[in-house]
Amino acid sequence: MITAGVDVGTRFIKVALTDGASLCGFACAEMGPRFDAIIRSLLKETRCQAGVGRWGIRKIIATGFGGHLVKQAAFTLSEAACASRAAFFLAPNVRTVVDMGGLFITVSTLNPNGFLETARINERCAAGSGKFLEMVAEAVGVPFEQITFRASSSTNPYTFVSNCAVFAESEIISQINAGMKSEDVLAGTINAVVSKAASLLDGAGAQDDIALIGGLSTLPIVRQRLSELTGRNMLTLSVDAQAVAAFGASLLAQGKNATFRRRRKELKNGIPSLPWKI
Amino acid sequence: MIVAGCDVGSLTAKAYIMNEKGGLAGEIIPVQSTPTDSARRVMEKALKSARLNFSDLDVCCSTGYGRYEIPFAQMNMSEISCHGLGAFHVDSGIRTVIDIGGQDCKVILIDANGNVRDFIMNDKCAAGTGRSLEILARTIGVKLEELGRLAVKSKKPINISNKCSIFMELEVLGHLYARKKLKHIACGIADAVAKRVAALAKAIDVEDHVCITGGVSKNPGVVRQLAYHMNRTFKTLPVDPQIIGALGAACFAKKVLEGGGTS
Repeated sequence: MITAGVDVGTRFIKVALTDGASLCGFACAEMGPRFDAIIRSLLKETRCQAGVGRWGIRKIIATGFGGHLVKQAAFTLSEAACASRAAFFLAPNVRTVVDMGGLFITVSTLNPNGFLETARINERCAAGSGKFLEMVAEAVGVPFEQITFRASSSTNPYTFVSNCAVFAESEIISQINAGMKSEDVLAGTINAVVSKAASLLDGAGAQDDIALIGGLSTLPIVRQRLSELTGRNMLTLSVDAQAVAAFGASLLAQGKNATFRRRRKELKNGIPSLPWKI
Repeated sequence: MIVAGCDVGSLTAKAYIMNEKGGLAGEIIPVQSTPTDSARRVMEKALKSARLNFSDLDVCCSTGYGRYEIPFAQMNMSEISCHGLGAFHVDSGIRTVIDIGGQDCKVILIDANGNVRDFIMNDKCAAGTGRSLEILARTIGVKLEELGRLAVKSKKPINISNKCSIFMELEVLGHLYARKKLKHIACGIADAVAKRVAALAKAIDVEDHVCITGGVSKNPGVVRQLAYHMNRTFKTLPVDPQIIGALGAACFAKKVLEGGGTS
């Protein structure tokens, strides 16, 4: 059975298709006012990738900030639930999932059966979010792909005076005018973003490897700094970091316990080695 | 005796010139590249409209963010004291001043002599300041000057629950995508800013009469919603509410010239 997950984030719309065993289609496009048409075309694109016909998708679950905007969806689920399901599916011994997206940083913890235990989100303030990094990168004129390269050459990262993302933007403009190097500003911003994630991680119990997902995690410098700051290892999942939440939604659309049934069956046949007993 | 006050804020620079009888000229310009530059430009403009020269000024007092960088000012005072004294000078019945500026927002309590008794200030977060209003106006594609006029047309503001300006932007976009009427969204934006200011004012004992100063006080939508949230009416000032800071600075300069000190 082919099912789909649609993740409408604050910056991008992601669509993933699954047959219950693997990711068989993924497409991603920027969010815009004509989101309806974007979702339709993304669904079509993924259908072509998976090689299924127009009526081939049996069920769609939406997730993300704008999940309620998806008309085709049967229902919507939280990002934390979807991301943790996908992370558990791909790496069964993961207990902590950190999703660094466009505007929200979500830290979710899983119990040994793969169910979501707690989720912590930066819901009050946009300081240290992806949008903040984007605003700074735009102000210093560095494209997203070059952030890692530029920031890693910094020797003296800038420390922000103001905590607010809006004020920080005007702060860096005056700093750049005063002759501050853009490398130092970028490195300082990365530090601010990573320390925000680390402060959310403080409350999360288990001290094992972290599955780092979301658009910001595609920057190697973010992975490296977060690993340095928390002293924990960053796992890379076998699917695109942006696709994880959408993939989780599509897995959840497979049915109540389909993924768990499959895991249990694998366990019975002794295929993977899992750290717990069922 | 001719005294002047110069208020260099984050978005605009204001200058006010007065003699012993009353005000001579007041000017407002957007900020230039440096505070020094802004101060000189705005003061030149004010002097020109009062038909005076720099040499005619007896004392000039500076205030605002850039107050330490103004070469022609002999003294400086904090903007809190200046807004307090300025509002008291134009209307001696005022006991509370709510100043909503470009990058901060303050509630100032003054005593019967115009001195600051207590104040509370938010300069940590952009929510509840002119900056937030500017960002949200840009999001819906309305000019900042038109936002207030649009907002007062609506009686049903949309509810914006977020506290952070960037999250508010996202929420406003959601309402825009849902094809809500622009006037209701504009009113919701004014309402969101007013809610943050009202939350700040709740932490201090506000006394009658209350007036609003600063750039945002020119937005009728914010003023209406703030009056609603604080359940109070505001006194309208006889002068431009944006220039009160510079006016207060000029009053301090006058006090010093008369030998009374700043208190």
